[in-house]
Amino acid sequence: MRGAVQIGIDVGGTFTDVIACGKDGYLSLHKVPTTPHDIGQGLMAALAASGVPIADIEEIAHGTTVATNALLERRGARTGLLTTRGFRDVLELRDGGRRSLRGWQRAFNPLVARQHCWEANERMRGDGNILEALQEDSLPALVDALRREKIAALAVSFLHSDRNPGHEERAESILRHLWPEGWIIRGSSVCPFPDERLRASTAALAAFLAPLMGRYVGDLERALTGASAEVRFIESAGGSCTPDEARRHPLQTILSGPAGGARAAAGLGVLLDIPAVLTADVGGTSLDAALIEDGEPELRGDRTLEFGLRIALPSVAIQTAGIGGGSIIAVDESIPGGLRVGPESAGAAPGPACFGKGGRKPTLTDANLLLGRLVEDRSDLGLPPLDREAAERALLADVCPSLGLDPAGAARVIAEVAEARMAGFLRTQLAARGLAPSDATLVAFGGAGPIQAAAVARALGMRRVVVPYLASGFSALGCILCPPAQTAMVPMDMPLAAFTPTRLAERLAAAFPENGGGRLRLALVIARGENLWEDLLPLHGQDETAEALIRHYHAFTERAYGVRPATESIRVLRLLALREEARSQLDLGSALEATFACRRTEAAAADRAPSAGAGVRQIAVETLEIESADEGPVQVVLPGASVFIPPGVRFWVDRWGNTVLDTRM
Amino acid sequence: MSQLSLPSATAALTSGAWIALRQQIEEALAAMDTGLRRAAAGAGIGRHGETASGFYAADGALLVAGRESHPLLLEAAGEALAYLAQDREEAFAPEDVFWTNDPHCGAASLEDLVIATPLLAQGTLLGFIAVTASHAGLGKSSLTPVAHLRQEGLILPWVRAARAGAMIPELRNLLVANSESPADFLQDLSGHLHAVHLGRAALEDLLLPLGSEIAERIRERVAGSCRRAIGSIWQRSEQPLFTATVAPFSVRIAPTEAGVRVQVDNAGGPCALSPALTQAAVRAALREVLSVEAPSLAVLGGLAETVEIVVNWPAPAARLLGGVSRFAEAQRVAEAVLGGFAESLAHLTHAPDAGCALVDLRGERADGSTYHLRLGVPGGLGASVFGDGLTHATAPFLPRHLPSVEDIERAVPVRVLRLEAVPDSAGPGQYHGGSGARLELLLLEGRGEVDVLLPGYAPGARGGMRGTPGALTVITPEAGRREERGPTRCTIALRAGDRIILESPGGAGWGIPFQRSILRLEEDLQRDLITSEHAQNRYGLVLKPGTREKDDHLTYRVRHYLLSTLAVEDIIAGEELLD
Repeated sequence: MRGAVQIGIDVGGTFTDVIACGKDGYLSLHKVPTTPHDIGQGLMAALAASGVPIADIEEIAHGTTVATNALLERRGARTGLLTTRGFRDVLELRDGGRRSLRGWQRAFNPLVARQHCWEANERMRGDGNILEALQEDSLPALVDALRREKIAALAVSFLHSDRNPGHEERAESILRHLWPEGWIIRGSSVCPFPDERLRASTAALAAFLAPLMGRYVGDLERALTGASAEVRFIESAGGSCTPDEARRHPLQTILSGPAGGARAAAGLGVLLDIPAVLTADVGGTSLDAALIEDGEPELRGDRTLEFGLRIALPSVAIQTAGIGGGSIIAVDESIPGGLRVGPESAGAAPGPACFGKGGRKPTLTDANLLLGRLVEDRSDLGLPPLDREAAERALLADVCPSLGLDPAGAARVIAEVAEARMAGFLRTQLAARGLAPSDATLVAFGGAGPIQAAAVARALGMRRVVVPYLASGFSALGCILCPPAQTAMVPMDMPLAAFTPTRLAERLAAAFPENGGGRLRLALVIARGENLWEDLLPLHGQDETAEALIRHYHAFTERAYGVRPATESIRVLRLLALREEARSQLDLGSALEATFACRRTEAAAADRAPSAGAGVRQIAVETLEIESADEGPVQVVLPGASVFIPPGVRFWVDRWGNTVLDTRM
Repeated sequence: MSQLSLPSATAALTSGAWIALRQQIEEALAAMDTGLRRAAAGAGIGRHGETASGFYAADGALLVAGRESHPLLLEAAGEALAYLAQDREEAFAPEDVFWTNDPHCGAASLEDLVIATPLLAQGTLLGFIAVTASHAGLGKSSLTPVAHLRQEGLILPWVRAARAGAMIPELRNLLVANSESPADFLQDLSGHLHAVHLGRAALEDLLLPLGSEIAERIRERVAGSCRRAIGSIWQRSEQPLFTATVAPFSVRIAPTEAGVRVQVDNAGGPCALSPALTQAAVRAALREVLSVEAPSLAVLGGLAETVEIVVNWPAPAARLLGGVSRFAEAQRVAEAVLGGFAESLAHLTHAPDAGCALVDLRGERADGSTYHLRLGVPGGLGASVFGDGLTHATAPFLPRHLPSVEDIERAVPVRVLRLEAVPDSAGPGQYHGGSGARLELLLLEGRGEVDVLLPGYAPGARGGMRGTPGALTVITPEAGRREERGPTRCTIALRAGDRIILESPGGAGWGIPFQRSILRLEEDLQRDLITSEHAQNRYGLVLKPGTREKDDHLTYRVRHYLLSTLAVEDIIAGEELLD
């Protein structure tokens, strides 16, 4: 029999966050340091920290970084590539782009080494007809080579296989028979779209990750042996999948954690009736931003994960900047007073200097501590208090001499530069969708998001900021909200003017042959003329006509780009579809309200009084009067985080525990 | 309204306030480039990203640039704005918009339209926001020289295109009527103007509250940064003068009291590259060098106050290079400037990049319909003291990416027979250049004509060797095989069944090849990026006869002997020495 507790786990670069939700609807947050060398061990430690007996767990929704870390550290399988004769260098040559505009460009090491790329004698025409049949008798020699080179996984990606996957399927079938010990991924199965480079990269990455993800899922299942908990992995597109699906489609988990945050922010947007939400999820390493309109996180169909590695992947459209609480401050000695915040991060180990774990380099967190924007006491996280002196020492050693300022002055400059960088980055995200900052509400979360949120919003001219009660574990909370879902990208390749509900129904039937019902989220991937950029056009139902879609698309392009493209130039490349299972889900509003009310009662019993830390008032959010406005400067203390409210900014707390900031002066 | 903690308009910018302000301006400019690239229908903007956005001073000096801006277009717009500022008799009004594409007014070429709008604070001109974008079809962008510029398309000197934000429709119609693809051009022009308006709104928001002297404060800041970076470079160098040649251009770079003086000469006779574009190329190259010394200078101006550029040839009166060719030549000027620094200050730069082989294919299908395909086959990039160069990558001034093979085959009646890295094409060195690429095309039906621009070789640095030059092989059933080597331009008529094989050049090597680590050489051999012969002749790696196994003893002796007897100059002088 299953237990009654739902668990959401988000493994971040610095902390692993756990949210436990009991049947009574109360939410509790727990944080443990991430163990980058062994994510699985860290995950079990996080579960232990939650204090919930394994037998009591009904479901574990897991935002994982296993695939991301394997890619970053190149720890995936030894991978090979089989491609059409004449195109062995499809991965090595990429699209001919550069890493950056200027300067020396380092040589590129593709996921598959050149000596592990083999060519098959076969050729399809551009229309999918066979030009040269697959030479099957060359495959046994290939298998010898695969064994000799100790290849564990092979990507099979042929030219024009999006039009006719016959040769790929035949090669796969023969190789599976001859090479049963290896993993084989077909290009046309993971990316049935034009552009052989995109298809080969996607297949190569899937092959690279498949054995590792298989092992990880297996280890996790073994660790939970005997437990009745259902384990679900968060997918990049904001749904969740079973362990078996994660094993078969490892790519789907590559943006797992941030997708949870976007899902939670979307839920909050619906709860508070906010039409346009811009998220600022700031952890130790990065700032993740997503735009959510009308309660739906924006989606996209492809991602460039690193230089030369663009893959087809349905995902929440999250943009990342390398700036977070752990971002290291570097002095630019060539310019008096010059400094950079990030993108290098102190990470989980050693972490910021004030964490007292051996970090010596100054970080944004150290600056925030010296400015009195952080709560030094971390006993609620089971962690030692922040070390002010260590933060001062780090700034004095690395930053103060160059700036000619004392630690407090240097900290102010660091915060100002970090906030300008964050504001500039968020401005770009809004501009890309044609939104003015005043049109959107900033929802700030993550450990560091609420500290800088007010200043960033003011720099941008955003009027309102919402910091959720469980801001520091908001992505983990989002994991619980991600429903079981199936994701599909289906080729369409037709003028938008030729789109009809009937064609949509045909494609959906092909994508989801077993019609299991549930809620469908649909979007069309649109391209125009010779432009390489693709736009996502959400579908608000299955009966939208071409005329209505063209109207919506024109409204979008006029708002975002100032253009009205000729109708005949607009093409639908593919359909992106998410079928979310209909099942009873956590009611976010009730859970937050119940949790906050309970904590308020506890706080009243404990009679917590406001305190002053480094000259700034500290108020526990639970002690604030609901909807009663106050004004900064003040630190509003949340579980595992705090909100810094600068002078002149009005704020109040609502019944769900959200701290709402009105940044208009 | 944005809020920055600047104390007042007249006070000097504090460090923190300046960095914060700069980052916000930088992001606003970056959003202009991104928005325009997403908006466009045309390949130049939407596919290759040929746009540049900048905030310029009232005299055209660049103050802050978009970080993804095309380096040459960015500098050329500054040249053009200097003309606009000089020639105005009438005062600028808020929301006026001006445009030009005239190379005689400093613009890069006819397809590169500069659109600028003044930024005014209480009637005082703070500067200009300018966005340049390459509108393919506004000019012909031909690969061969033309006798008169007007053969390339419609020439627009600086003209006012909008008053008080309202576009003058007759002017718009004039441009649209003269473009190759009016619908696409109109869309791209709308996106272009939208980007300018967005930029103006953002910068007004950021700068106007700071008063009418803010541009001057910014200018002081960026000039100071530039001066310090240049001073720091010369402090580290033991040489008072840097020289380099990338045929046909040679440069002499020397320090001055204000900063640096760069003299550019052309050994190839009358030059079809305008002095203004040459100056823009020099500044783009200097920006690349300075941004290594001070990373923020990648997006900051300051060169107008610190760099004196002398171009030793007059403005071309008649023969002018076509649009894309001008960029290829300007790239060679920039490579020469980089080459000058490479020999003295290794950390600042790299061995020259090889450039792109450019192809303009036009033809008629069997059913009489026509097609036109422009593509670039990027070459290898130069190595540096830090490592090998990148294979198959665009040069900064020629960001022509190769479409996917499937795109090519589905758009035009050709079959791509192979696309692969070219072994032995990379310039040998302790660190070798990136490899060039080989593209083989077969014309399937009808007739066609192809213009090809092939770059020459990229010379090595610090004892590194040159990469292979661009190459073209044409194979026809009637005439057999014909081969061309870069640098060259040619036009070839094609019939169904004809094949062309294009090879882009290899990037140049860095450092003496015999000092390349044996481990790396073995990896190169394993990856088939070099052949055994090349490993032996260029790197002194001796293999046991009939195997790919190295002969340790002989390898050591050969490499030791060559290193002790050959001067670096000998190695550079002739590769035949090693054969």
